[in-house]
This record gives sequence, structure tokens and C-alpha cells, in this order.
Amino acid sequence: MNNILEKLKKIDRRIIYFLVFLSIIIPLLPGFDFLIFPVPPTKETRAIFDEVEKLNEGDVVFIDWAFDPSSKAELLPMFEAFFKHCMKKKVRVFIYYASINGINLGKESVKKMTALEEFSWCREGENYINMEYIPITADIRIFNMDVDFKGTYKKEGKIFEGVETLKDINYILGLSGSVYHQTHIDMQIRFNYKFGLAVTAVMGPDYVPFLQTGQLTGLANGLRGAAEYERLVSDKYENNYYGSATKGMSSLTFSHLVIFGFVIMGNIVYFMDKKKRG
Amino acid sequence: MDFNALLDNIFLNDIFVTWVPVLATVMVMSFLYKDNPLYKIGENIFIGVSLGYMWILMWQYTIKPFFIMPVQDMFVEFHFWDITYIIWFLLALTMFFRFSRKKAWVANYYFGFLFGYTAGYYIPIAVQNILLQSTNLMKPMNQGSFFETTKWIVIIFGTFAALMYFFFSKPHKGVLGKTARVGIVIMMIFFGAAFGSTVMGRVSLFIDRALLLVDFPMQSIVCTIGVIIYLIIYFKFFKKEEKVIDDESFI
Amino acid sequence: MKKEIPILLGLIAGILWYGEFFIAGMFQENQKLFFSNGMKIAGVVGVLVGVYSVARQNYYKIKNKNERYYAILRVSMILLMVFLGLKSGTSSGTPFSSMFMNVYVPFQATVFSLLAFYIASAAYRSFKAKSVESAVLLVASIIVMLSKIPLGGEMWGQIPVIGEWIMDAPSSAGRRAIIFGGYLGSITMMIRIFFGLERSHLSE
Repeated sequence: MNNILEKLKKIDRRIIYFLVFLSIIIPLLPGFDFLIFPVPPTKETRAIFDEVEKLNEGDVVFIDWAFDPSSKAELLPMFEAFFKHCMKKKVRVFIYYASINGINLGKESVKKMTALEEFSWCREGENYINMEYIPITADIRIFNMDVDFKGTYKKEGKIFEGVETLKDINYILGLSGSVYHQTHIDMQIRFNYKFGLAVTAVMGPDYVPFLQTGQLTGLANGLRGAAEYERLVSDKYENNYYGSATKGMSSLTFSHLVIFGFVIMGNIVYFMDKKKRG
Repeated sequence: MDFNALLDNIFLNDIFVTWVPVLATVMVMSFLYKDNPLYKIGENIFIGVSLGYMWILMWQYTIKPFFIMPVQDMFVEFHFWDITYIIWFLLALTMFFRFSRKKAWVANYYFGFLFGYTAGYYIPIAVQNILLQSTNLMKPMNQGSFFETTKWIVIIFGTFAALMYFFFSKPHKGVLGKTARVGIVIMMIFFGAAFGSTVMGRVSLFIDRALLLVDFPMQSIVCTIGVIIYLIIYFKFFKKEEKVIDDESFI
Repeated sequence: MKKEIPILLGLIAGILWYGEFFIAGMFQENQKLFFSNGMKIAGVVGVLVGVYSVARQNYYKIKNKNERYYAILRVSMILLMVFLGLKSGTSSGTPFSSMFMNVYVPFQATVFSLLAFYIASAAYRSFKAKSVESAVLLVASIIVMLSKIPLGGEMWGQIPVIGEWIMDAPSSAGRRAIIFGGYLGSITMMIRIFFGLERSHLSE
């Protein structure tokens, strides 16, 4: 017994890594589709969806992309689902990249989606536009947008028709893996725009109070939020649309079970060890 | 075949597009076994590519449209407001003095200005936010359902208790001590929720990689086997394995 | 002279912005753009400073014998990217973009994905109920984790509800206390900068 305890105490970290690896990769293999559970949407994610549902054709949505490939896993599926939803609603989409490392990732992703047959009517500069990057901080950019929207970005296109200032934007969605969008939340009281946020799961609990004060309308929390959004879009517009977030849910479940196992085992070992020492 | 077509052929063909991402993924994952030259090579390729990428994009999206173009326009037709560009440019150039030890104070002009005006517009906004957070706490406690009512009771008293914990100018004894203790529990629940979310976040980072590996099964298997063989050869013949002390202090 | 004039400059700019909040329309459009347009130029100079600093560091690394080969690899990659970017542009479907999508993205994403393994190892080694507080932390995090995975709701219908309650009530209360502290702290800091009491951002 003591022998096992000692062994468990000094378990090689690589065994833990290997088990986690297996728990993530096995549910993704072909033939394991039956492990995909339905994901019931939470009210926070549904709030973003409902706000977009309220928009009319030709309204303006501003996507504020502030993540780089390191958080691609959690936020890119959300971006894709949201962009798809916007295109289904036929609203105009402005995509601004606050993170310069995200520009090509976003462009490739948009290109991939607009190449689909259902979105073949989408034109860059008319239905959506990549606003790329400007070297100023978020707060100054918001001040600037409030005065002169088009001049801030130095871009041209039919899409800018009737969009003069911040007031003409119907919804802003921030996608961030950092505290970048805190500025948007702080300034929301002053400029009174509608702002939803999709964050990495790590940051999720930090933004709940702002949801309660109404500074945020909607919060999508990590990969789970993206899966919920995919589900909402697929329920409303097409059946059986599974994006990468929904595919990942089964892995998420099983890796969590393995991690639970480790936490419980760690605690058992700890208490047995404590008892032995007295 | 001209040069551009050759480049396209190298960087856009199927072999590059499928093998390189898988190889990169497996190379970095070899770090999980132990630090090795393969990982170091990958790391340095990554740093090089990222810096080159940044420089090109900075040139394209920053320097060209917001510096070179305005200067060109200035030469064509000078407006009075273009003076602001010159003032800002001169102010910002002082940043270079940070590299010097003796003349570092010249950069103060820029930083003093920047911090000063940030303070100017930020103070009212911060006050607005504090007031909003406070008014949000002043709510009728009866909110209908059981969960809603208990939720607001916990939020109101929990925030108060946690603030008491941060209140350092009096010793934490008596009523204050007990409230601060509740505050600690509240903070612990916050950190617990944050940890729970963090686990989900971290795991989903690898799920994305796993999806890539599953999408290209042949490539992943070949690359994994190759990297494993490399690791065995490297640690067996080129590097004497040191005894790893795997105690609790790790991580 | 070394510090007083910069502080005075900051004070004047700050007072102008402070007044702008209360007197809407105090600034003309052009005056408002003075800050934002000018700041873009300052950003450009910031980029130049960054480029200079990277070049300087790599130069010293190449001169140093120990790390020479890795530094050469790094610099050659920088040059390759710069060459591809200048040669064929950066839009999607170019060699430059392909390098980004197939080299940069997998490397960065994988480096960060290693955290998944580390957090599992950390959960095993240090996530123990050593005291009442850590037991609270453990229970809260396990409930939140269970409520996040789809299986949690399948096991017992109330788990997502309880998880949401934890996120909405006690966790939110803890976060609110931090928010209050943060805003109060930053206001204090800003006022100190405003009046020149805080000088840590200025060098001698």
C-alpha cells in the first residue's frame, strides 16, 4: 500500500500528459461521433444572438478583433459563427483588427467563408470590409470614431454609405483574449453603444459584473460559448451545422473527466499521506 | 517558369500546406518530453517568422498610410492642421532618447504629455464606472425567483465583505474580522470559478491542435514517429540523460 | 526643466480633455482629431523604436558565439518573410500569407496549447483541500467545470443552473470588489500624475 502511495506521489508528469492527450484526441477520431452531446445555450450567449436577430437588412455591425493565433482555438469558431449569422441577416460587417497578428488569420477565414456557395453574393467593400489596423489605442480610436468614422480608418467603399459616426453602428462585438476590451466597456456609459463580447474562457468570470450593469449585452465564454452560438445559428437557419467548436465539445467533456480524476486522486493521495504522517 | 510562379509553387502546394503545420505542431509538442534542439529550432523559426510578419504588416498598415502618405500630401498642399503632425512627430521622436543613459530625460516630453492627457479623459470615465457599479448594487432584494433573490443578496453583501477584506487601515478583529473572513471566502469562490474556466480554456487550446492532427492523419502519424525516433537517438547517443528530480516543486 | 515642463505639458493637455467631458462641443472637430491623428504618427515612431531594438538585440546575439546558429536561423527567417512580403504582397493566397497560416499559426497555437498539459499536471500536484479556503476554491471550481461541459447537464439538470449561480453571484461579488479597487486605484494614480506627484514614468 505504502509502495503504491509513494509511486502515486512521484508519478511522472509525462504519464499525466499522455492521458490528457489521449482523452482529447480519441473523441475526435472518426467513429466516435456518438459522443457529441447537445449544448444548451446559456442566456449570455443567447443575448448576443438576440441582438443580431433584432437587426434589419443593411444595419451595421462592427467586429473588433483583438486576438492573435494563440487564442485562435477559442475565438475563431465564435468569429466564424457570428460572421455567418451576420451574413444570413444581410447586415453590413466591418472587421477591425486591433491585433496586427490576427489580420491574415481573419482575412483567410473570411475568404474561406465567402467562398461558400450560400455567400457567393458577398462582396468586399459592399457587404463586409476588412478595416485592417491603425496604430492608436482603443480609447482614442473610440473618440475618433465618434467624430469621423470613415476618416479614422482611411478606407473607401460603398459599405460606408450613411455611416458617419459611432451612433450609426448598431452593434459592436469584441473578440479578445486580453484585457483590451475593458476600454470599450468603460466608455460604453459615455457613448452608449451596444457592445457584446466574446472572450477566452480564462477571462469569462471577469466580465460577469459588467453584464449585470448592462455595459455588456451578451458574453460568449470560450469554446463553449462558440459551440452554443453555432447551435443557435444552426437551429434558426440550417440543421446540422457543426462547426469546429461543436466538434470539440466531446473532447472537452472527456478531458475534463480525466482532469477531475487527477484532482480527486491528488486529494486522496494527499489525505492518505497526511494520515500516515499523523 | 518565372520567379513568382516558382515561389507560389513552393509555398502554396499541397505538400507545404499539409505537412508543415503538422510538423510544426509535433515539433513543439516534443517539448513535453524534454527540452531538445528540435523544439529550439522550431522556436527560433517562429520568432523569425513572427518578427518578419510584424515588420511587413507594420510597414503596410502603419508606416505607409499614416506617415509616408501624409508627408507626401503635405508637400503637395500644406494645410494649417498639418502642423499637428509635425508637433506629434517631433514629440514622438524623443522616444529614441530612452536608449541613451545621459539624455533619457528628453523622452519625458512625450511621456509626460501622453500620461497627462490620458489622465485628463480617463478620470471622468472611471468616476462614471464607479458610480454605475455602486448604483447597480442598490437594488430591491426581492427579485422574484429564489435564485434571483439569493443572487442579489450574495452580490450585495459579498461585494461589501470582500471590500472589507481590502480595507487595511484597521486591524481585522471583531465584526470587521468576521466580515473580512466572509470576504476571503467570496474571493476564493471567484478564484475557483476562474480556475474552472481556465481549465476549459487551456484544454480547448489543445483541442484546436488535435483537430488539425486528426484532419491530416497520415502526416501526423509520420511526423510523430519521426520526432519520436529523433528524440530517442538524441537522448540516447548525443546527450547523457540527467537524473530528473520530479518533485512537487515542479510548476 | 527636465521634469517640470513635461508635467506642465501633460497638465495642460489633461485639463483640456477633462473640460471636454463637461462641455460637449468644446472642441472643434479638427481639435479633437489633433490627438487621434497625431497619435497615429507617434505609433509609427513606436514601431521604428521596436524595429531598432530587435535589430540591436539580434546583432549582439550573432556576435556572441554560444547562440550564434539559432540567431542566424532567426534572422534568415525574418529576411525570408520580408522578402516574400515585398515580392508578392500580403493578401490571402500569397506565399507570405501561406507562411503565416502554415508556419506562424501552428507554432504559436501549439506553444500555447502546451498549457493544457501543464494545467492538468498542476491540478494533480497542487490542487488540494489543505484548508477551508482551498476547499471552497476546489468545490467552486469543480462545480463550474462540471457546469461547463455538456455532460454535466446530462447527469443532473440542476448542475448548469448551480454553476451559473456561482458565476453570477459569489464570483461576481468577488470580481466587483476587485473592480472597485481597480477604479479607485487608477483614479488616485491619474490624479497623482495630473499634479506631478507621480513621476515614475519620467526618467532622470
